[in-house]
Amino acid sequence: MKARKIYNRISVLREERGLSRRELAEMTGVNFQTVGYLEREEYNPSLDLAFRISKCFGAPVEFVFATEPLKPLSQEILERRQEGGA
Amino acid sequence: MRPDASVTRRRTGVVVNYVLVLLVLLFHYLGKTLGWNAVWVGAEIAAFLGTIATFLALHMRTHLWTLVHAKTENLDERELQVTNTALGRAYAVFTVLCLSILLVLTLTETRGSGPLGVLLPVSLIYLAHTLPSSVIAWTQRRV
Repeated sequence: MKARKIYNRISVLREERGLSRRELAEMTGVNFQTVGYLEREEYNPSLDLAFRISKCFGAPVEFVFATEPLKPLSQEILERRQEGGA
Repeated sequence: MRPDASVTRRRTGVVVNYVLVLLVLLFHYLGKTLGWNAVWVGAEIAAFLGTIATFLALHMRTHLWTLVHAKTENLDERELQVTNTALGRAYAVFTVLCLSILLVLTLTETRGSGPLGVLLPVSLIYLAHTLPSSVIAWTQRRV
């Protein structure tokens, strides 16, 4: 069975927190090359690794990973504000 | 060859390395059947040294050898997946190649490995050890 592509926000969240790929790799216990593969969405992480990465960013797993293309963070924040204000 | 060498460079390295192994076998075969002279000896030594040089450049300097021969507990989940796939493919290629060689030796009624002597099994052992990292060098966009 061919696996579905998993989309993620790792690159945006990592840069926002000023982390290098090597630092994130050390925090999550993987090779820094693997972080690159994840950011380019060339590799689907295991559930365990997805939870570890989400924990590093202090965000829920569904905020970092999705099976559909993720919206830009700015757009999502605006939409949430509008939903909250409405 | 640097660890971040392009796929094209790595693929070229794989082809050159195995062509040089074949040349070692060819020059050895020609030396044995036509009679050894300085040309065959020189050519075989040159091909052998070329094989070592391309092995070091392709497998050692790119760290592919380390990746394939590392303990599983030292690899992360992606590396495990990559090495497992490479080992599976290498096993399939190696099996087909060994069976083909056996078939040819049987059809030509060659005893043992003929004029190649111990060099043929040595080359096959070399192939068995280098195939998994060659598969990774050939298939992975980045190592």
